Amino acid sequence: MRYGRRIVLQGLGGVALGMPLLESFSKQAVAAGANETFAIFFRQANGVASAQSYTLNGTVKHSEPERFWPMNTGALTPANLQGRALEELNAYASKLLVVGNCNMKDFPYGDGHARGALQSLTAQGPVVADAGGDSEANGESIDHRIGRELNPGGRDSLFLYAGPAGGWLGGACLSYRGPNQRRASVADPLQAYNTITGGTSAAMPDASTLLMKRQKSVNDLVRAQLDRLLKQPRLSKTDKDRLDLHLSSIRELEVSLGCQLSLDAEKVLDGGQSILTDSNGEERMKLAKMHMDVAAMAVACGYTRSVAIQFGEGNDSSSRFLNPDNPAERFENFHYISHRILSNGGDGTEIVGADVMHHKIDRYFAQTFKYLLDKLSAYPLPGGGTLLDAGLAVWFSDLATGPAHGSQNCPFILAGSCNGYFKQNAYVKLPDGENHNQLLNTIGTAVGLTKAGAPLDDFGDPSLPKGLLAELKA
Amino acid sequence: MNELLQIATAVSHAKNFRADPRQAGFLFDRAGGSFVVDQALWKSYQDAAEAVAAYVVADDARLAKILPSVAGEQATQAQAFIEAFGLKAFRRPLTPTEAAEYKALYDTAPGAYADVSDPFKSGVRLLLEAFLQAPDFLYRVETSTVQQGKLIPLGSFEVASRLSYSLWNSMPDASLLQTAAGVLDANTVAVEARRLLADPRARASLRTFGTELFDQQHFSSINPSSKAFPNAPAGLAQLAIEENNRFLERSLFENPGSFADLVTTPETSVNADLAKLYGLSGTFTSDWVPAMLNSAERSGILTQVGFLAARATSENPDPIHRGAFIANRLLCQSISAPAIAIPPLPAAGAKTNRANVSDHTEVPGSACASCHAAIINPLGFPFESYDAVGAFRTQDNGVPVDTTAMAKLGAQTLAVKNAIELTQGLALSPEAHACFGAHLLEFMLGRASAPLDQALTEHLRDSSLNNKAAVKELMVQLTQSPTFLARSIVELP
Repeated sequence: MRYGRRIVLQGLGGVALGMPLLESFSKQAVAAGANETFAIFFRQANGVASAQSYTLNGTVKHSEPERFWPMNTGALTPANLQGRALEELNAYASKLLVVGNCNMKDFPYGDGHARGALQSLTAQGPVVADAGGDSEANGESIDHRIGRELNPGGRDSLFLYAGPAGGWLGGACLSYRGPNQRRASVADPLQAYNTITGGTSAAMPDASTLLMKRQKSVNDLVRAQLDRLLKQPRLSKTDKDRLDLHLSSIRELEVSLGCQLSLDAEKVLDGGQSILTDSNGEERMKLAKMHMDVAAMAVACGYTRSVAIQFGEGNDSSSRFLNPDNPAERFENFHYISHRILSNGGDGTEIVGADVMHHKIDRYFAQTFKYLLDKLSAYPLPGGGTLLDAGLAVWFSDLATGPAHGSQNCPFILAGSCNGYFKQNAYVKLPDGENHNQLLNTIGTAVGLTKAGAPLDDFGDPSLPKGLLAELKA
Repeated sequence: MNELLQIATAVSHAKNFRADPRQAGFLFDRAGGSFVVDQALWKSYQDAAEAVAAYVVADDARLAKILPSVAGEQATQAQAFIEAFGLKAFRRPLTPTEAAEYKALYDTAPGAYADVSDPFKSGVRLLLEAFLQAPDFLYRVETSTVQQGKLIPLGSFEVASRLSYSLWNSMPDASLLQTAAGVLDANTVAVEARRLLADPRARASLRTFGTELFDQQHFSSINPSSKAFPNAPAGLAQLAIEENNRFLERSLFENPGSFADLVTTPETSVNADLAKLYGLSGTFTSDWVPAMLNSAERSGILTQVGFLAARATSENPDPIHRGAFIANRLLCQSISAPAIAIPPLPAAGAKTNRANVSDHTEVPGSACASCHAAIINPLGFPFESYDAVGAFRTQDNGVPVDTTAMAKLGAQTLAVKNAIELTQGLALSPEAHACFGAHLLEFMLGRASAPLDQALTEHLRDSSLNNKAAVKELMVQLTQSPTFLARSIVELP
C-alpha cells in the first residue's frame, strides 16, 4: 500500500476516513456513443510564436513577425495559413474554427503560468491570492463538469498527463473537481485504457464468466460497506463526497466490450510506461499521442464526454524538442525557449533564434493535434460523417505569448462542429474584453451542459461577464 | 501489506497506482486531503487485490502465515480466518454483520477459480480480494459518535490505529490490538506510544518526518558547477541525502534529541568525501562514521551540506531561498510569491554575493524590499560563510564574507554575527518551537493544523522550548491530548 494513503480525515463527528486498428472495430465502438457530443482538450504551455514586441535584459528590444495566426479572418484557405504553424492543419481546414482574441482575466495568481494553466479550464481565480507556484484554482473545470453532468452515472471524465511528476504548479494542474480540489491525472496510457475496459483486452476479448462472477460478488460487498459508511451520522461533506466518488467508481466487468483496441494497439500503449518520465519532446509527444488513442476510443465508446490532455507541467520547463531541420540539435527546454533566454526569469543569456524554435515547437503541437483529428476521423458515424463532426477537439495554450506571459489573445483552436453547433473553416476574432469564460460557456453548451435547461452562460468566476459567444455559432 | 500478510517481501503494486494530485503549500505526504478513490485508482486497487490474493494462496507457506491455528472443518477454519484477518485488516473486530457477509462470500467460492481446486483455498483467495478492497481497509474509519463537550472521544481500536499509523505509518501489531481490546486510557496510550517509538518500525517514520520537514527531496537538485568547484565530491547530491538520513535517524530515533538539538548540534555522520568537505582531519574511508564537526563553523542541520547546497545555484549560495525556507518552514511565516516577471538575480560581477542580492532585492521603497529586507535576506545572509557546495568559507570574491544580520525571529529581532548565532537563536525562539510543534501535529494527524489546535501547539512549544523535550517525547505528549484521543465536532482541514 502506498505510503500515507490510508489516512484519517477529520469528519464532522461522523465517519473519518483517515487500436484494433480503429477501422476494424469502429462500427462496434461508435454504436455505443453515436452522435454524442464531446470535448477533448489538448493543452500546450508557454504561448505561441505570434507577432510580438518585447524587451530582453532590460534594454534589448525585439520584434517578431507573425508565425501562428492566419493572415486574415474568414476562411482558412491554404494561402491564409501559409507560413503559419496552423498550416500543419490544412487537411482539416474545413473543420476548424480558429478563435482569436480570447482573453483571460488577470486574476491575482502571483504567477503567469498559474494564472493561465489553472484558469484555462476553470475560468476561476486563485483560492489564495499571490501564492505563485503554490496556487490552486477556486472552482470546477469544464472538463470535469461535462463528465459530472453528462457521463453515464456521473463517471469521472478522463484527465491524462504527459509531463514530469511535480515541477512548477505540481505537474498536472488543469482539472478541478471544485474549489481547491485538484484532480489526479493518469499518465500511463495503458492504465487509462484498462480503466475504461475494466481489464479485458484484445488478448482476452470476452471476460471469463468466473472472473465476472467473482468481481461482482466482491463489488456487491464493497458497495454495501460503502453504503453503510455513507449512512453514518454527521458524516462530513468532504468524506461524503469521497465515499460517493468511490462508490460511483466501482464498475462491473462486461461480458464483451466493444471498446477494445487491437492487440497491436494495446502493445503500443504498453510502451507508454517506459517513457512516462522522458522529457525529450519526441517521446513526450509520443505519450500524448497514446493519450489521444485512449481519448478517441473513450469518446467513441461513450465512456466519457470529455477528456483533458495536459502536455508539460505548469510552465513546461522540462520538454526539450529536436530541431526538425537538424535532428542533431536539441533545443533548450521549452520554457527557456519561450522566454527567448537561458532563464526562467526576465534576464539571462539570449537564445539566438528562439522565436523560430518556438515556432517549430508550435508546429510539433499542431502535428500532434492533427493526430487526434486523424483518430477521431477514423470513426465513421452511422448517419454519415465521422466522430470528429459529432464532437469537439480543442488545442489551446494557456498563455498567449512567451516573453510577456500574455493573458490576452490566448490561442484556442477548435476542430469539429459538435453536431453542427460551431462555425467551421473560419478564423474569428472575438470582441475585446474578458471573454475566455464565455468561450467555456459556449463549449459547455455545445457539448450539452445547461443551466436549468437553458444554455450554460455563467461558468467560472461570478465576476466574469455572462453569456455565450454568438460569433462562434454556425 | 507486509504487516498484514506477514510476508517480508510482499509484491509491491503501489508503484503502479496513479499519482495523487498536488496539494498547495507544505504538507506531509501522509496528509490525506486530496486523496480520493476515482475510477483509475479503484481499478488499480482491484488489480492489486486480485494479484496479491493469488500470490498468497499459490504458496502453502505464504498462506500458512495468515491462517490462524484452528482445528476442525474447513468452515470452522474459514470463520476463524475471517475474524482473525478481519481484525488486522480493519484494525478492529468485525461486527457480526460483517463477519456473516464475509462468510457468505466464502461460501460462494468453491469453483470460483479455474486454477484452484481446494474449496478452502478458493474461499480464502476470494476473501482476500474482498478484504483488500474494503473501505475499512483502504480508509481509516472512525465511527465513534458520543459527543462530550466539543469532542467525540475515539474508541480504543480507533486510538490504536491513530497510534500505529502516526508512529509507524503502519497498522497496529498484535500486541496493540490486544491492548485495544481492553481499556485504552491515556496512561496506556502513553505506554504504548513509548513502546512503538522504541521499536525499529519507528525509525523510518521518524526519518520521514525529518526528511519531509527539511525538504530532503530538494537535495537531488544539487549539481555544482565543475568549473567553479572542480574538487567537489562526485555525487554530492547522494552524499547529502545519505548524511541527512543518518543524521535524522540518529537525532530522532537512536539518540532522541530535541528541536534545539536538530538545529544546533555539530554532530553528524561523514565518509571520506564529506569529511574533506567539512575540513575534518583524520583518516576516513568510504564507510560512514559519526563525526563531530567544528562547532565554530557548524551548528545543526541548517549548516550541513544538504540544506546549503540545495539552496544554492551551481556557483553561488542562494541566501534568498535559504532565508525563505527558514521563514516559511521553521518559523511558519507566510510570504507571498514575488510579483509576476520579476527579473532574476543578475551576475554578481565584482560584487560579493550578498551585495548583489541586496542591491537587487532591497531597493528602498520597492515591492521586493518589504519582504526581502525585513524577513528573507537577514535569515539567509548569515549562511554566506558557506559556499554553493556547503563548504565553509571566509571570503567571497576576494572580500571577507559578511554574515551579520538583524534576523526577525517572530516577535523578536535578533542581531546575529553568523549562522551559528542564528541557529542558536532559532533554538531559543518560541515561534520556531511553536512552528515545529504544529508540523509535528500535522505529521501525526495527517492534516494541516487549524486554529482549534492552538492550545496543543502552545503546549508542545513550551515543552520543546522550556524543557528541551526530545521529539519522541513530544510525540508521546501529543498522544495524550484531546486532539489525538478524540475527534472534533467541526470539520478540520
